[in-house]
Amino acid sequence: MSLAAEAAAGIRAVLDDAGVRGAVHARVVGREGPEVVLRADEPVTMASVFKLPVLVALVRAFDAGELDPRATVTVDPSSRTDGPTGLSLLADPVTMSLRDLATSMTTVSDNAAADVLLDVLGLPRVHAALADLGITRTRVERADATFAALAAELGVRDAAATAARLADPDDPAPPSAYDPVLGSATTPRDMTALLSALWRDEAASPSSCAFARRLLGLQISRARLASGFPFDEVRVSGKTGTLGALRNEVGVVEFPGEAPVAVAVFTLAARPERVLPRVDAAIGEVARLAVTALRLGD
Amino acid sequence: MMLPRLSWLLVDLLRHVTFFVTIAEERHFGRAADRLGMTQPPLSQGLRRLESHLGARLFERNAREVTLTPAGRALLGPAEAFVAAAGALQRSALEHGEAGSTMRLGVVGALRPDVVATLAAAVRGASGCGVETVVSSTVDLAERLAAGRCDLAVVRHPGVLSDLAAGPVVRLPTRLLVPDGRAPGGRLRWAALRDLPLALPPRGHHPAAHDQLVDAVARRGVHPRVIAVEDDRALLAAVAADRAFSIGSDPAPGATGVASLDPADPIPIRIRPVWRPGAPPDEAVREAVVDVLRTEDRR
Repeated sequence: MSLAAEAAAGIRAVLDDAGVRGAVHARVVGREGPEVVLRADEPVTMASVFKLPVLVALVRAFDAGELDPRATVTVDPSSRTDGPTGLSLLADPVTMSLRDLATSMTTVSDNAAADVLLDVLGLPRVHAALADLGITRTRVERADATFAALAAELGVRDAAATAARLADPDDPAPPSAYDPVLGSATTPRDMTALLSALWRDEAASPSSCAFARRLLGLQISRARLASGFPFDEVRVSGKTGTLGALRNEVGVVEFPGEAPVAVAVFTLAARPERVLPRVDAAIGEVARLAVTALRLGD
Repeated sequence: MMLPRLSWLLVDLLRHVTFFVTIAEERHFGRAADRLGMTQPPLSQGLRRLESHLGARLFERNAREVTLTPAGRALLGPAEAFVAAAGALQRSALEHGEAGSTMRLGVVGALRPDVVATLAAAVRGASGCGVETVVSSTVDLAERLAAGRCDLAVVRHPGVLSDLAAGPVVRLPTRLLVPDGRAPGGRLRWAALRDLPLALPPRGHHPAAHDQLVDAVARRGVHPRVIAVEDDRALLAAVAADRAFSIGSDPAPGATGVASLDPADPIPIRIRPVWRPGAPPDEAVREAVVDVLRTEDRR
């Protein structure tokens, strides 16, 4: 068995042990060769991973001169998108530049910032950027559109009721709640392709790619992909996504002096609890198995 | 009679062709034997018989590696197709042979024996079929369902169901089974259990449900070491001997040395019926199962 096939078998075991269904893809950036594949072409729900294509489309619009990174937007609490972090939490209107909104969107997964940027960009521009990069199986929606579709599917009124409904241990949400058709959707392979383009300076200008890579490296959440690499000299950059029992992260792992490895891990847990450290750690373990197999080569 | 002889030959040929395909995949006799669950000598012998039957050497063997001969390379494709077709034949034979006459019901050990009996009777009543019941783990039953080797199962919730369909979740009534010396007067004190292991079925039977149960115990302030017990007898013996406490249905009410407590906030064990979408059993059978389970629900 090849190292990559061995890794896929190990990954399956880790996912089973954590009580999740998972879809995984990993590839070495800029090198044709073995990939780690587990349901890598299955459509998956992105949750906040959708902020990665938004970030890429945004820096491309900066490059093209269509948007000014220093242009400001005022985000008003009365009309912004809900969320557990960033501007979504603030009591008063905030005026910020587009690039600072990108920083909040990427590093703390700020829903309000993401939807403001999507309003400025327009969805067609995001989808045109993806198409231009050959990423054909990814569809982005506003965060609040996803929340509304999910609430409608569950027959509840608001975000709080949605969260409570998804966390009910005795009355599990129907599988349709996590159907990729409800919101932003992609495949694990599409996400590693997008990350590869970003790491090869092909997704935008080199300086814009560097800006986007830097933000992904500053992500606050370290519980998932990064937990698989407790080595200070290893750089793990990524974007997480969480919604009910969904726990995702896509990112790039860089060992000094080695080619970067792009990894996408999408999971759906059997358990509905909001805090499942074992699943977060399993995502790190999956990434470690995948990256190790690709580093060691065949 | 010709037929038994012919089928014996076919089965033997299938077996030997499977050897060929497995060795070709593994490029190693030891690993191929491992995968086939056998030792190396009968594997080599089987391969030799196949080679003489086909009149061609299939592999070059030297000390380090096994490689396909040109004949082996030419025959590998047809051999793989033969093995795949035999698998498909067997699966459809199973489906056709058993779908009409027998319902294959799967249950987990968390269900009391009398509930299992009631379920089997209800399935028989609703389907008019014979009922074959297998007691196994959630993980194994989900695999059996996905592979078409089971029609309907009652499994622990939560568990990874992938593409299976599922009915409502039922909370089973549970008891806290503790050594009677630790519950004087039948009164529960969690502090009295703090140094005692928790005996449960192996985690691998249902990882998500297991972790949820252990977390529910932890939430009450006790973080026990968990030990695996394979059956109710071993479990009761561990509790009676002051070696563990446990949570579940009480398999033997009144057992010496075991206090069976019914706390005000019991830790639930959840189950639900699952089946393959679009496959038998029909809705009446599923409803009959849900009705039986509902009578067990203590919500």
